[in-house]
Amino acid sequence: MSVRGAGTLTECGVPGIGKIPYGSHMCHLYRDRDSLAAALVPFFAAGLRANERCIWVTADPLRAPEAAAELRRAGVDVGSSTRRGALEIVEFSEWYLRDGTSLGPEDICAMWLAEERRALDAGFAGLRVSGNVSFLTPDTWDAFMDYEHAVDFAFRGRRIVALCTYSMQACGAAGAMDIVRRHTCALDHADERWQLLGAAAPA
Amino acid sequence: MQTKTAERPHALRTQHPSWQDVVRSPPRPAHIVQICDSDEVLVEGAGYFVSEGLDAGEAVILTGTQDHMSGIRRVLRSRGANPDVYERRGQLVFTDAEEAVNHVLEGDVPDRARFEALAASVMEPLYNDTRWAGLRWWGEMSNVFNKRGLSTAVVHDEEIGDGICRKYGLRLMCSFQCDRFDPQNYNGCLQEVCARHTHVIPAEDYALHRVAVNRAVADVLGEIKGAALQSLLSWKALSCEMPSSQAVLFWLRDTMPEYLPAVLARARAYHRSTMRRTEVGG
Repeated sequence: MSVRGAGTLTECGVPGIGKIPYGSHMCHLYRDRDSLAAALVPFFAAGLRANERCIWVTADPLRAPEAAAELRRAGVDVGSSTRRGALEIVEFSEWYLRDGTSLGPEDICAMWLAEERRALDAGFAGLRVSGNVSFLTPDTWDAFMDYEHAVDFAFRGRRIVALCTYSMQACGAAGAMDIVRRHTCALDHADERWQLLGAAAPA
Repeated sequence: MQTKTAERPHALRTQHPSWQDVVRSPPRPAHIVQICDSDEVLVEGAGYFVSEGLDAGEAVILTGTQDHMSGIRRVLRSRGANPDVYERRGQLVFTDAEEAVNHVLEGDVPDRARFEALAASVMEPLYNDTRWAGLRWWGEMSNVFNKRGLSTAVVHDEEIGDGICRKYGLRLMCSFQCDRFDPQNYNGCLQEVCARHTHVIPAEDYALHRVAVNRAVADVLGEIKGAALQSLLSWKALSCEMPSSQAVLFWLRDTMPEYLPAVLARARAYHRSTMRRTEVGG
């Protein structure tokens, strides 16, 4: 891993993981709703503590109201964080689709980079994002993998950390193969212990 | 904290949803292999590749067995292309794979110089003919070597073919007949054959293959996590383009070979049962 200086690290928030570099584009293959919440709630809580702007793009099995409730249960003041622009919980249909049409990889990358710029201009330390993509279908899978590939390059060296979540059951082994090759590292929860696997995992 | 590091593997490309998309208009050079488990699949795949080339104004060479070339003629006719017309025009050339193999074979392996000279004698008149928009070649010499039990010759043949493909900027498609769910083939030359191509077509129906492999892996391995996930991250994939479902089988072969026979057996069963349902359902 190449650490780009002390200022480029931020707390991951997921228990036992410690600091991760900005520019990390992580993936997580979750088992169910609870395991999804177990990764994302501490991830966003740490982002808010680190004065990062946090954008949580939700889909089944954890939609926006439930995500907010989970954060509240973890002690996050969702209302205040939302009002000051530090937290945005948005449904996938509002983020990845415009007028019902899927956006292209370049469009979505550009949106994320614009969000990073806005966050830094507003005085935040960086941008923290997560998207759950359970809405994908076999017909949209390949196009979304193109997007993940583009994002993996676009986020390098940026003040962004991203955690993309996929249902293990829906993806299967072939999907897992597609996913891990388009992310810098994978968040894993084996034997009730979190670990970060892959080329960009902190040493 | 628990951390592990790994070299980043090759990125896999998944943009081809079907084998027809692979062979319709591949880049130049492209060296494609289709894994076929029947003569019908072979002639259908080769016929489609040839037909698309003829439609695009390319010259096409076929090097196959007489039976397969007869089948390809049938496929061409069914697609509205009269092979006799194209042959008379000089756009379509049929050459016999058995004769070609006998000509280039030196002991148990093909002789490179003889192979290259033979290829040049067939190709260069077409390559230099400005009437044609490009040159495609379909062949099954490695298939003939394999049927004769000459597995070393198969790999040599593909290496020489790959060099010729690159030199002339060809669109070259090979048909390789084997049982894609037989573990013995994974212990043999299947992976080496695939590694010497730019594109691998492992199945007639990519979606069906993916479902069958996913279900089989889930049954045998369970969730991909822990050591299995780390292994998937660090595995060095073949640099050729192939569906991820086939890459998963090569990953298992390389990293967890003890599970491969069970996965292949279940994948075969799922593949058959899903195909049967599809056929019954029309």
